[in-house]
Amino acid sequence: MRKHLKYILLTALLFSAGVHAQVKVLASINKRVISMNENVNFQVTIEGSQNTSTPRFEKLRGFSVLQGPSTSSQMSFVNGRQSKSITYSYILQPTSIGRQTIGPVSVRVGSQNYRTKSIQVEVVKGNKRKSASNISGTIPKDKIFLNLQTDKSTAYVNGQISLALTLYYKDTDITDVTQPDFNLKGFFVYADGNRPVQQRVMIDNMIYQSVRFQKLLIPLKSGRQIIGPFSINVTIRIPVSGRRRDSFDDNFFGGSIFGNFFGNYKTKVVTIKSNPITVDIKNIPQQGKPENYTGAVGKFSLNASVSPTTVQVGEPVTLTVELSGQGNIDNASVALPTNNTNFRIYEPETTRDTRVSEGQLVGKRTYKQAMVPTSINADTISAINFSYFDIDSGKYVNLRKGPFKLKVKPAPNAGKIKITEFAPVRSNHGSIRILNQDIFPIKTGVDSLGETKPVTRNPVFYTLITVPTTMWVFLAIFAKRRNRMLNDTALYRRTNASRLMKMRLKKAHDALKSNKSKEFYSELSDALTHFIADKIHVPAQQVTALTLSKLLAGRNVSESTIEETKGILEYCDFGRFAPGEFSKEKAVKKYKESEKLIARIDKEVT
Amino acid sequence: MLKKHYKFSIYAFAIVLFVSGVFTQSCIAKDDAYTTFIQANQFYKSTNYSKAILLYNKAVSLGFTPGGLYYNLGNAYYRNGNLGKAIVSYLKAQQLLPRDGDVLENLNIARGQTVDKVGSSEPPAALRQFLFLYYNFSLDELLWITSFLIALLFISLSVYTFFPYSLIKSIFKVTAVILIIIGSAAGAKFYHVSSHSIAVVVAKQAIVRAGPGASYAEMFVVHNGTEIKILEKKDGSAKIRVDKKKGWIDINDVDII
Repeated sequence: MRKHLKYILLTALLFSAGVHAQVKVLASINKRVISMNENVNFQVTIEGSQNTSTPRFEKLRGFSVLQGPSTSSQMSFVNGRQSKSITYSYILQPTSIGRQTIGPVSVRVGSQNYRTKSIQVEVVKGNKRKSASNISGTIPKDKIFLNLQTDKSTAYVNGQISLALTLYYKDTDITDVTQPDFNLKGFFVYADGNRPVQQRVMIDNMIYQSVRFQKLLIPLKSGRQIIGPFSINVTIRIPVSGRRRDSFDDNFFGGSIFGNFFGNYKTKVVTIKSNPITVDIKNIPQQGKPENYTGAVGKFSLNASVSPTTVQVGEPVTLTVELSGQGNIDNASVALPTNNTNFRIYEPETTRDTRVSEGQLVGKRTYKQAMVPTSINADTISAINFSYFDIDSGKYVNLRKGPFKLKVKPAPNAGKIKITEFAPVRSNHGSIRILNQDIFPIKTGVDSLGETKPVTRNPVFYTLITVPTTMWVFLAIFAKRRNRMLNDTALYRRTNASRLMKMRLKKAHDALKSNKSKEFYSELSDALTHFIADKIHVPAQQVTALTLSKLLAGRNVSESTIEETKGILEYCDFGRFAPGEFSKEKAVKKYKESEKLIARIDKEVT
Repeated sequence: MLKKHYKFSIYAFAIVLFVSGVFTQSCIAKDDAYTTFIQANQFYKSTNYSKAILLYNKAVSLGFTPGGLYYNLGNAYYRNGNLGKAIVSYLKAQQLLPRDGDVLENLNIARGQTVDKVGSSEPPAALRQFLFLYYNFSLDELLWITSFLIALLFISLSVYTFFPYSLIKSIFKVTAVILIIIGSAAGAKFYHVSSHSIAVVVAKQAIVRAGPGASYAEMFVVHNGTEIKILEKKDGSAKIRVDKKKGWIDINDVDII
């Protein structure tokens, strides 16, 4: 709203003020001498009026308008006198080297035409290294903007163009910047690993932060090509705590969307677009094109050498060719010697290395070719030729190395390949000079001999492995069993049933011997009942003559066994609780029966 | 339980009998071999090298194979002018005495006098240091350590079964880790030794051909003392690799280690 108000006020003032006051039209430039990769800020200031037409260049040679015009107007009242002015700013980009003229510029103020003086600018060949960081003094005083620049406006197909996309911002809290998408038709975008460069720059006495993305383009098609506009997404952090916001935020974020939030900051993604750039891509001239031209454009140097230069027939000679320079070396290839009667030629070993250095594509291509002279006439290796189109001079350049002379001697024993020649054992460049070399003496003492018998024939070795292992296996089995016993009472009772039964039977037997009838009955009864109780894991008190058939039901014990057991138990109970005459013979018989019976139960019970 | 203990003691007794039997047997052989060895040394000192070689080899055939014996044999071959055989013996000695400086020195001297200068088969020093267990210990030493560790492992396991103290558990764990490391080194070494893939040319010179058999084309010639790698064996020929070249060689021209 405030801004609108400003415009209304401004317009009102324009109309109210006298148009034909003292009008002055001035052209100014920030630099008189610039390099090819710099831009100039050209300004046309009209004092005394703001009602003007857009300035028109009557002459603009050697420059193209990169950006503009952008306007700014000033108004002031000094001692009751009103003064006003309007300034049109242009960013101009030089297109050719030399003394160039900007202007004159004509502008229409009211009904009258005014002309400025023309301005001379010296354009020199620039130091390309600083191409992108030298953008200065030309950027409109916005808070955030994106500027696209190329190092040249004309280029050859297969040449190279350095591209710099720079984001400038100030007083803005930027948290994230996306990588721009440099997808271009008609160009090969060289994928170098350069990361965006961040730095602070001074533009019109104001400090901006900048993020510069650099790419290298290789034009593939001739004609007028438009690069860009590119856009990037910028994440901006905006304070939302207060009501007050400056106009910048208002412009971008439309006022009250982020009115009263609890947090202090809010982020917003803004898409920022750059200016487009037009470049002229020229085809390299057909005129004067050498026959061996393979498409290299740039500036190259060639090196070639042969080693060794004195050989025997059958020994290989290595021809090393090194092509290096500025430009797309992938398109460059060197014609190497081909097979002939004097040489056997092997497939060359090539290495290639391209990288972007100081905004330029530089590369190096090395060929290593093995050539074996097949006769002593092989005394010359023909010259190596390479042609390229030189960008600076606009002409084809032919590089030539050689021919190379060889001294070929006949081979003494042609045919056989020797692995290597005899060479002395040790080089003598150490501090100790070896006078003579001999082996150390033999070993005589039995101690110095080392182990006299291999380990595989030493029983101690096997003992060490087998004994502890076996011991552990046994112990582990034993421990496992013991653990099971401790945890499983049923198993424990079952396992110990026979042992306890035998003890009880022994006691019964002793009682029988010493005629202790009561003890005999009770021990015999206990031996049976405890044995059965242990076997089927029930409390011993539960096992009686009455419960027996019920307890043993379904446990695979035959009827006769159960009946006989019952008989013995009843006999014991009778003897214990209704004492009468103790018949030792009957007791012995019952005892024997019991032993057999227990064996039967042991077998049958499950 | 009693029965089992009884059985165990029978086994133990049998083992003791076997062990002592082997001991006495080997002691007899050892005495015999040792005398041969002393005689061989005397022949060596009186510069009768061919006789010394004969006796050293006899001692080897009697099962008396310490590293020092191979070293002496290597010296005898060297003095007798058979470089290939000397290198074979030194390499065998090195397998048994990997840290012996004399063996290494003499091996290097012998190697330095071979006709073919092939790339050294010695591993780089950094690798030697990193795999010092593999390179600086002989197979026997590694097997000994392994067997001791196995014994310690199972003893600690057995003790732990009845006395589950954490100290014993840690002993067991540490032993297990060391056993894995040393066991792998021993395994690798055993594989290397038993694969018999290294050979030395013992003929004055040997022709390497394109295939197994004399009908194949001659490719190149290797000379006495050159160390080669055996890749496979077939019909009295061996496929070899030497200095990145491959070919077939008559197996009688080489000694395999």
